[in-house]
Amino acid sequence: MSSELAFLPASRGTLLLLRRKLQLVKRGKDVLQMRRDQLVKEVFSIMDELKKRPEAEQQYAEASEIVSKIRMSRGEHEFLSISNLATPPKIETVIVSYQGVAVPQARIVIEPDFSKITDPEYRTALEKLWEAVKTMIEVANKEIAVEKLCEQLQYINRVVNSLEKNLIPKLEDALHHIEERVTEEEIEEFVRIKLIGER
Amino acid sequence: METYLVVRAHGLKTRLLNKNDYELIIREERSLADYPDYMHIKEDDSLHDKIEKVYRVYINRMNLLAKISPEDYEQFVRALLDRLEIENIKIQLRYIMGSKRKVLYYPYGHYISPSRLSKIASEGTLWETLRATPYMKNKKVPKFITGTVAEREFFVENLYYSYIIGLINKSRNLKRKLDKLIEILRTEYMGKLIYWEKILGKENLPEIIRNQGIPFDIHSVRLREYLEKLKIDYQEAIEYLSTNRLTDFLNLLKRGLIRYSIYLLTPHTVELPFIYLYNIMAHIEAENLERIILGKNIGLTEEAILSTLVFIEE
Repeated sequence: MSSELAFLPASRGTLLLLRRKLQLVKRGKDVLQMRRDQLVKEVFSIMDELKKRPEAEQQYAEASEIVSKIRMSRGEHEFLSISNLATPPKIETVIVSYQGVAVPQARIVIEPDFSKITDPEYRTALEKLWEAVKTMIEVANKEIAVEKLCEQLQYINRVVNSLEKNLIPKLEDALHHIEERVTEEEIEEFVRIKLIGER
Repeated sequence: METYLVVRAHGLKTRLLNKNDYELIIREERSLADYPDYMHIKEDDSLHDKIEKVYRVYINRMNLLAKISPEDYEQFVRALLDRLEIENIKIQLRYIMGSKRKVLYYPYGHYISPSRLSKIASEGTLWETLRATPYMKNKKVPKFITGTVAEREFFVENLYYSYIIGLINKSRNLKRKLDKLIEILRTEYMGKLIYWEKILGKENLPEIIRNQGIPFDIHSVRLREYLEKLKIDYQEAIEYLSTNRLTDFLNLLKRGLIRYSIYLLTPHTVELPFIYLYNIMAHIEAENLERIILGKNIGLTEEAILSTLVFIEE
């Protein structure tokens, strides 16, 4: 773009073209800045939910420890076969749009079924563990959303910076340069016409 | 012959691990392979291989006693070991009625080998197979009231108690020698009823008992009396039961039953009932080692592992 600008002919047509281009780039930059603000707002709103993570980790660690203790006390044979009575959950990955950004998300399609487990200790422990896993899935979904939104933010920032620090100054320089050239040429033309008229 | 059998059991008892050994293993100051009976267990064996090898030691010990026993005693010694087969049947029931994910069987089969059991894919085939064994000879499958797996497990457990009681009652010799053992089995069964009441529901158990029939003439378990008999702290037991901490309750019950068995069988240390006591001790050793191996594998603390172990010295 910059190399193209250096070889533009100094004419009123070029001047109009450059003005239109500069206007378009500035409008584009404004739109991108608005999008950036929108994404930042979205990231901040998700960040609040990410604060649940330590709590979710704690909940998971506690539930996991209870299950581990039951597994150790009751023995591997019983633990594996009792776990067999639980119908496992079905989890799918879907793509969800966060402010137009495609984010992969884990979705629980079918909840696990613990109804066949009649031992209340096993059942309570496994239900607690599943609740903890569910919270962890929610947190992981939010984390991946923040990651993807931040990637998009990084990209928008790069484009805005490039427009702000590179393209717009160059376009303005070129516009200014061509404006001067056109004015000079107009003055020259005016002087030449005046001299011819005096003769 | 009986004296020889009991003396061999006393000899085997000296090889059982004690509290100090368990502590050394937990603290990793000694490895399991340092003990002659477990020297074939390698550090790089998988978790399930290690557990299987531990139970094989228990099975081999009891098999050794069965081999040197006279015929009717042999049946009794094997019947003690058959508890593992009953557990395998329960495991297979859960597998059939569950999600059919990988399960682990005890490496023991008297009437149905684990490999044969694992190939049974339907409940009907399982009952048919059981009908061909002494556990369910001349018995019909009852109509299950609640339809739960637990009710079927209760039925299988009842089959075992009927089988072992039947075996003792069948031989006059055994009946005479093992009268106190029947009392211990009855006491153990009462503890099981408390557990099953929690699992099957207080409202369902009487009807299930009427429907299935049970091996002992027990109408109800008076909890306070029962716990006092086993010298179990009533408040502690009630707390565990009311908060559904059944694992802790079962451990409490196991410790109480061991105390009670030792108390009842101490005058018979050179008689056949000692084999039952030895069986409990050897089985507890296998369970304790399984807990240590599992606990270490899961990454639980030394204190947490130690708190679940059952010690015979108590």
